[in-house]
Amino acid sequence: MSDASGTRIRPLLYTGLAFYGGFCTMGLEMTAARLLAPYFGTSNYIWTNVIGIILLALSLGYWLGGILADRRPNPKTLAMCLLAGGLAGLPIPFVIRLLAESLLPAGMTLDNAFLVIFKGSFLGALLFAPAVTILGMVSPFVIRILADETGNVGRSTGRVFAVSTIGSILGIFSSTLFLVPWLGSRMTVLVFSSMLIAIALVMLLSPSRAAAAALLLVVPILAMRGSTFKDVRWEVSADAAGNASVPERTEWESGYQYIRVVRENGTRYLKLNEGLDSFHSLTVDGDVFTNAYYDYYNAFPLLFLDREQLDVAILGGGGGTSVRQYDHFFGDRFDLRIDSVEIDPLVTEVGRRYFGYPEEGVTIHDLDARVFVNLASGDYDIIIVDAYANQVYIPFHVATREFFEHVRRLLGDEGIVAMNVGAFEPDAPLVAALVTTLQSVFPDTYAMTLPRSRNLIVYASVGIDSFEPMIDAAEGTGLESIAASVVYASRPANEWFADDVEARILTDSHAPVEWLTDQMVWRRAREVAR
Amino acid sequence: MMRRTAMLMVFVLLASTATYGAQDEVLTEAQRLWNEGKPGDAVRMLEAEHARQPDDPYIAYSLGVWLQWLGASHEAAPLLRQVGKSDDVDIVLAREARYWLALSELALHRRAEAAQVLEEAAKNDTEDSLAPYGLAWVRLEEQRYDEAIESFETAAERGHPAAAADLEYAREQRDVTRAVAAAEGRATVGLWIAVVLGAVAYAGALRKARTA
Repeated sequence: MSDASGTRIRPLLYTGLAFYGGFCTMGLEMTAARLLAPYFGTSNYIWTNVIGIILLALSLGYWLGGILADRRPNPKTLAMCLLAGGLAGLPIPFVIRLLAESLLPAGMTLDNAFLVIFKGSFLGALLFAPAVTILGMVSPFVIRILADETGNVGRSTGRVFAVSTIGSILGIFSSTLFLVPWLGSRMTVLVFSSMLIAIALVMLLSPSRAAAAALLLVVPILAMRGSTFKDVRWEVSADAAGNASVPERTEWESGYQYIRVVRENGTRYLKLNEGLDSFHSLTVDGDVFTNAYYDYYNAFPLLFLDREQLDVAILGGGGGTSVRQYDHFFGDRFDLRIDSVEIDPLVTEVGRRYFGYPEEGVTIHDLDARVFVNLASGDYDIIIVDAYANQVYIPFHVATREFFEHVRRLLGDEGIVAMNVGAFEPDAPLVAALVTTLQSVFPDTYAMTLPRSRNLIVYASVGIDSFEPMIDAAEGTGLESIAASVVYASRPANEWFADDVEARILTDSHAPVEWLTDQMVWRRAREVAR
Repeated sequence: MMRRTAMLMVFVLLASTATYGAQDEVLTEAQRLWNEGKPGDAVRMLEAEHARQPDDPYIAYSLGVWLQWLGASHEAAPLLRQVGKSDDVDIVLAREARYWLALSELALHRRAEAAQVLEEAAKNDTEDSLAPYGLAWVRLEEQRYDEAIESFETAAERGHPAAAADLEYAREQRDVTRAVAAAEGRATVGLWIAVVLGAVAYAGALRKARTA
């Protein structure tokens, strides 16, 4: 980009630097959250840490950049800033892994991990601060140089802000939709950083030297991509049948999240992001049951055994655990039609490969559950709501009265909606709110705690007088204990809480699900800390 | 979670091999239904019998245990409490009923009540291995690991068959919790170091920018 004099650069190219500064800043911010996700998750607290630190770093960068631009308004100083920003970004993916591995002990659970995860994610996000601070210095610098060249301060400032913001927008889109799914988050950070360095080198060196330096930079990165630093790792060991080619631990990055398949004690788990002791699908060797909440959903079709056809929607299908169980228990009894809604297509793909997700009788919808419910028509017998985000949060828009009104419409004259709710206490305000909201649409609402689990099933029905016929219907199906549990362990919603528990109805305009969840998590963290 | 399952299996085994008193016929038939995988029928049969003989502690005990096994803790707890209050039960049944009552209370997230049920028994009845064993699980649930380990050790000394293995689990859990606490301490120190270093770095950069 240097012209013959080595110092004069066209205003258009300066504007391009502002664009690229914005592009890298937001790209790094989005990728920061993804880099932290495998270790610390993506809860509201992690996003708050990332966004807060990035904005703090940017503001410091603007301030420093303004001072430096007034002192040394020349392209060489700007190039040095870009070089420093790139160099500050290069080690982040390596250091973040070291930080997490040195900080987070094995065996942490959701119960005891909260404080260390919160503080650790803050430290992890701080790693991005130097690079982002330096990127923040670019815009004031460019404004100063453009203003000097054109003499129009207002127009130059407006142009830089506009172009930098457009760069930021493209940085967001390209990182989340393209770069991270294609290259992985670690490589994406390396690409952003190395491009900054390459631009700086072009500004500082002659074209031939810049090209040589860029090659020196790019080749090791590409080599890393192909060897130990790849984002998909395979650890092969023998399965129970001695099949040595079965990958026992596998990980991917999708457009939405970090996905792992982990095998422990004869059970294969699908885990997302930090995982801890949570899972989103599972299979137990040689057993269709999971010893988890999924098993209890199988009681509900027993009420419809007189039908020829059973229509089911599973919102939050994950790797297909519920679909697999329904297919096993009821595939031969009904013309079984399942709509499985899972927003992340890679999760479905992993389910097909590792969790026995059936191919037939299931229509997969790569959609948000709420969008599906808003748009769907038809008459379902059973709707299962098992949508979770960031381990602990039920997405608020699948927990509101309006959502359940759509569900009610889809159930027609007779049907059941069942919802998985994770809670440290069965009478937590979050559970109270969900039960109360469901009951505001379905008068016949019940809840049951599950043995040996922190999950509850909250369910409601329309057009069903009693659940007791499940017990007789279960005979010979293998679901006798499950059916008996649902009948005996369930309690009507109005008996679920003490009178002093505050319960609110969640609506689309006011559904503080995250806040209620955070309250519950904080309370548990305080208990553990004591 | 697996450990908890194992614990409950031990309890069910104890319950399923014991029948008591004059109600043997009903209890045996209910047990047969349960063993045949018809828990709903078994519970219905005992519910009917309990309605007919509401003061019978043996019926109340079996019904309470099975309801608890099915997850109906809110129904199981009053039945098991009733057994504890009865003077007409032998000591083995009284011990088992205490256990199951504690489990019910635990499932209902009433940890203090669960501990209360077992604590005194563990102290006073030195032959009883179930009380310290159950108490250990309550303490684990409360994340009071040292007390849990102590109770598992007592249960093991008194001959509880599962206590030794669960003692190891409790120790693992204690170690993990300590490791998490240590990690949190490291993170706090790291944060302070980062804040100080950041302040120094920005102050230096600011000074350099101003004098450049």
